[in-house]
Amino acid sequence: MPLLEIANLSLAFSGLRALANVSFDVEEGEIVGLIGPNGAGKSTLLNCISRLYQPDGGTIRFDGHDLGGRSAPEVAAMGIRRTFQNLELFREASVRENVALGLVYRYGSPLLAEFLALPGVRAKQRAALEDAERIVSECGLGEWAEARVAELPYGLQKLVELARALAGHPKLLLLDEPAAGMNREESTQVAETVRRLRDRDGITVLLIEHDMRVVMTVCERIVVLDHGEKIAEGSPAEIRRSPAVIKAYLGDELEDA
Amino acid sequence: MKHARTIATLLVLLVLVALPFGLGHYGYYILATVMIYAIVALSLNVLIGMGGQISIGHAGFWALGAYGSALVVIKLGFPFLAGVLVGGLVAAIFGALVALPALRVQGHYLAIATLGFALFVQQVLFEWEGLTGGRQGLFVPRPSLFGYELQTDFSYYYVLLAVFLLLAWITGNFAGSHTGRSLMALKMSSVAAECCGIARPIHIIIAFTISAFFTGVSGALYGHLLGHLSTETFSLAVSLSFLTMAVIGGLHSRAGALLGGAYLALAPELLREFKDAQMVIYGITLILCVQFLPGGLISLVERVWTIRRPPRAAP
Repeated sequence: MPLLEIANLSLAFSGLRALANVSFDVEEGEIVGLIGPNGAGKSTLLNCISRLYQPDGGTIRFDGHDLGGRSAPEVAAMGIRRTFQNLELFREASVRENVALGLVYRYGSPLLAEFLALPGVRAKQRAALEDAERIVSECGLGEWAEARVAELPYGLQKLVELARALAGHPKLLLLDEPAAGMNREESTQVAETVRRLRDRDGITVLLIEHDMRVVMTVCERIVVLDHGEKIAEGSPAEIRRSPAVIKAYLGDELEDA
Repeated sequence: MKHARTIATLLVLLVLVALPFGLGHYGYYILATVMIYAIVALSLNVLIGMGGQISIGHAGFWALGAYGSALVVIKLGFPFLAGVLVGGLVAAIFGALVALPALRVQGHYLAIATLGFALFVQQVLFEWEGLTGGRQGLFVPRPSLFGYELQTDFSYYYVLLAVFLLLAWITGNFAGSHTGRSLMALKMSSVAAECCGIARPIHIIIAFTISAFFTGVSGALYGHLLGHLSTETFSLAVSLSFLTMAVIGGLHSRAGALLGGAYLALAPELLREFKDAQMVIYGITLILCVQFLPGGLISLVERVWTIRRPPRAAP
């Protein structure tokens, strides 16, 4: 059984078609790339999976469970975590707090006990903090743990978002342009990180990326969207040769020119 | 750093304990109102400062607390402290209900919804003569502890101080708790928080419920201070001045809540000669504060405090 099954997914925004009958699967432990020209519906698809959008039609199944009718927090708690194209951070909070907020929901206490800061509550807070601390240093953010996220450079902010997503111990990680705005060296690092997360922690990854070098090196399978429709699916080598993909991209470039 | 904070807290406590000495009955009364307002400011710290929600309806919770407590003490013979607890709980129930529109609307619309709630409460209390005495109002007995009536506002002040400190302590615990931090996370970015597994509705309901509980407790305590309740005490102007004091004191600090309470209790005394121009002065103070001192008066204190200490090493 695939970890993620997307079947006939459709969504329109006030009549404007964003996704039309998109179907594909992601197997457990796979790294799948989602590519396509701007406005192809890639981020929309990710937003449907993390339930920020409710699709008009079709189903998404994760780990055998239908995600229809579930909320974003429920889906996050099931083990789907993500990063955002334009960063959604807790900007006024520290790096450590950002990461901690990624995992606090797993350390809940009764509200009355929290008001009185009972010993059990404090123990859970310490455990959560240690968990966060470990992830912060594993992601190489130890030096900036106390820094306010808003004051960090863009590349580090992206890293904080990734760390926060990992704090949720995800089964499926959704990455929306993890290498955007990065130089060649940095994007190579991103590709290596994604590989390591899969190889070492067994995290399944679905990622959107415009940097073809990253996509072609890190992804085992690629799904191509254009105008909300899936126009191709296959290995990097197959995608590179696919006439439909070439047309979508070249056509796009010609129009732009 | 940690020591400095502890010392500052102890100093503030010492001042609060020593304040009434040398004052007269009127002074005690004013100090008592400082504490009562400061509890409301704490409640707005939770709702606005942590939760990012707005309310122009806190006079409604204040009234529910005051009448709730007064009625169970008068009609059912509850002891004073139990009455205060009931007042808080009655307000809390309505707080959870008022949270429901907040799940759908934000900003101006929420402000109007809470405003409507406060007007509704005031009107119902006024019309329900059988229960509340309507125009005549209610006479509320003096506060009493363990069978002893607190004859003066001098002793009552210390009860109020204790309640304020207890609720301030709870507020601090809540701010550091996972639920409190989740609430602040939702304020910073609700999309990010929800994708971290933090559900918005329950946290908004919790914020309103706590805030209403605190304000209800404050209202209950106020009723026993006044000795007489009438619905005029819980007007729209009161809701607005609550909001003003909370902003001027500082929405992100318990000491700020205390300053806010002091502002609301003392400003009318200091500005008495200005008569109707008072409202103009309040308005201008609020505008200046929002414009130049978004952290409230307490941020001034904190600024002076930090200048005297070496800055933390930059990351």
